[in-house]
Amino acid sequence: MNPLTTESILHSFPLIIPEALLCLVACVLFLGGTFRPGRHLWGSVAFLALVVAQIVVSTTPPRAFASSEAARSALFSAPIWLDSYGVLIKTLALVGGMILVLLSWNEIDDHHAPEYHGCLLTIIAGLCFTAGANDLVTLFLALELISIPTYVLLYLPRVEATAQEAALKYFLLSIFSSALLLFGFSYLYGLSGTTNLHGIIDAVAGQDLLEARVVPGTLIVAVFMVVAGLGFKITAVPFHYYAADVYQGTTTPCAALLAYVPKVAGFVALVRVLGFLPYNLGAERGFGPMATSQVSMLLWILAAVTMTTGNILALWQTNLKRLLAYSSVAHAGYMLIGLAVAPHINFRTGPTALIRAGSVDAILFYLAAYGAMTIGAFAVLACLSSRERPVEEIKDLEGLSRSNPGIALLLALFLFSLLGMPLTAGFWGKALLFLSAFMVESDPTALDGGSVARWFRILAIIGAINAAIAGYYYLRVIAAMYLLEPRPGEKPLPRPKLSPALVAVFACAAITLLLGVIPSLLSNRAQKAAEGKVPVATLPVEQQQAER
Amino acid sequence: MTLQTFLFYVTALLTGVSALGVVVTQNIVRAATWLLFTLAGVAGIFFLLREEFVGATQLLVYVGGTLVLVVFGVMLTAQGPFINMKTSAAEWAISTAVGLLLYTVLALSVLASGPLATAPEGTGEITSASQLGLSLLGVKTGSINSYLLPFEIVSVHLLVVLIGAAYLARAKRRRGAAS
Repeated sequence: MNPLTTESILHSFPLIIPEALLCLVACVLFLGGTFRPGRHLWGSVAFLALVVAQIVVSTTPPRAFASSEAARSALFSAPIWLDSYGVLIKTLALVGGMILVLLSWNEIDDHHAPEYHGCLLTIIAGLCFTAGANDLVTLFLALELISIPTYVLLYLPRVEATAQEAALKYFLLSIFSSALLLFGFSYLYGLSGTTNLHGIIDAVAGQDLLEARVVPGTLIVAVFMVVAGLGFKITAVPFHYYAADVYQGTTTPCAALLAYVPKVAGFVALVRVLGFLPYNLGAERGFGPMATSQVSMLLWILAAVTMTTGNILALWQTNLKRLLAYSSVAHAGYMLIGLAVAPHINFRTGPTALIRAGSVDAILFYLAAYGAMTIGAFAVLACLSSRERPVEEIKDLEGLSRSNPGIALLLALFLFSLLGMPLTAGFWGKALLFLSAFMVESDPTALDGGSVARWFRILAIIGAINAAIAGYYYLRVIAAMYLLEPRPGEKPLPRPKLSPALVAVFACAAITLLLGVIPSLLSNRAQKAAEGKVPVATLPVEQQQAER
Repeated sequence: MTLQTFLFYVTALLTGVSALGVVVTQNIVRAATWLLFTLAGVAGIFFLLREEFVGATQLLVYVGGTLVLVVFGVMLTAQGPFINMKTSAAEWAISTAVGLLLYTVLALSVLASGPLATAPEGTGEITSASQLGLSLLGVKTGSINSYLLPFEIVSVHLLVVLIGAAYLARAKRRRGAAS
């Protein structure tokens, strides 16, 4: 092996220690499960692996480069690129993974536990890979590392017909979306001649599109296909129709996983492929001015349609999982606002408002808030539901505040957060996203004659109207819990005992409240990460060489 | 018209016609056979572009490997009613409309773009299997990236797929025993 290669491997290996660890432990689970079943044993192993991976992620110092040339050459060749945005996403993935392990602890039987947790670990590893992917090949494989174990997970716990139908539906549609994504990727590769994400953006934005006033149609087709393929993962509207059926058909932990992990992966992949993270290394942001306005318009329409459709369809739902499914569609729509805004806000930095709202960082904050409140709501359902008394419909929760005041309060907290009440994480998430849409300033020299700001104000207003519509169905659940008496003749729901799932509920509630009261805990970090600064060593080069 | 252009049109025509055949035919085995010609035609285009290695890989992997798998799958699973696919007139109409729409968009976008400034030329850098194998093992040769990391990720994929397949097979047997 030549020395140059060894060096590059040695450099990229420290970046993937957490993922390698998770995959290794997954192998141990797959193997060990054949010798000894047991959900407590393998659940704790999986949890421990996630904790260790999190410690590794948070203690690894960012890789410093001697000069910006070195950083640039690494940025344009490395398959994995770990910036602080990636580190934050990895943290979201690992913490989410811990909560999901706790949530599914008692939901699976002893014999399925090792495989279940093994698949869960590979999914989280895939999400971590997605966070750092810097190459189309790595990105696609990372996304598939999330999808393929998900099929197994959907199939594992139950052999009932509805669960099989859910698994099959998800499988077929997911493969279809992967095909769309690959089609888009192949066009991007064809246009730029490289699979490196920054190389693509450089090659595409490098052509003087503004002067030519022509966007290569193939670029728009490529972006369209990529957005469509990833739109399936984030349940954007034309690709949302599987969500309700699959969430309803599968187990509660799997539904929580489906509501969280693919969304994080989809948004991170979109941010990376569309090049919405600016770098101080001369790489262009987005696909140049003209293509950017078209991409932004596409995302604008997608955001408006997604949140409106999600909220309106949720109004008619009586099944709790279907309701949460459509609510997750609506939340994807809110987050798409951030993506649509991103190309416009990144060109100018430093708005002077009270809260500095960005776009990519607002998405990151919203993903954390959304994860906590949605997984929390699913976890409450998992805690309350039992084989004798399943909690499926809204009417099953009637009078919950009498029989289980504590749990009812927690569920109300998650629903208020989903609704966007102040003092909860959901409020700040929505506030940052809507503010980012208001921050867009018109550029009179732009091709569109400076109407961009008006359009984004309209988008923010559509978002606000949607938040109001969403109030109806969230409050309907809260009203059922607090205002209605338990139905006569029906056994009240048993009080849940202290179980890992209940711990998951408390953890989600803690995150929801913490981010609601002190949003700057995350938002400051997200903001710094969204600036996309590449750590270049401050030491003079000579001194570094002397130190070596 | 040079010989190469002529050959390109012939190959492209064959590929396109057999691709249509895959979609139009109602019999699964016939569709698989049409697919054979489509994939072979794509390999032919690679050869015309002087990407012999990619063309050979296309022949080996898709024509030789994947297609045989497809035929085996059809032979093992398709019984009686599933050999022939019945498609209703409405499905025909919708799929034709969608297909034509996509074709128009793609054709227009390609025509509008004109010759690409950065069209990647046939590099022909990888000319042997050993070079490809080395790049999968992480050895960088020339400008070809090392694909060690993707290679390792694929191995995790395969592991999970094997576990899933084992479960699919096991669950079926248990259900069969129960009924």
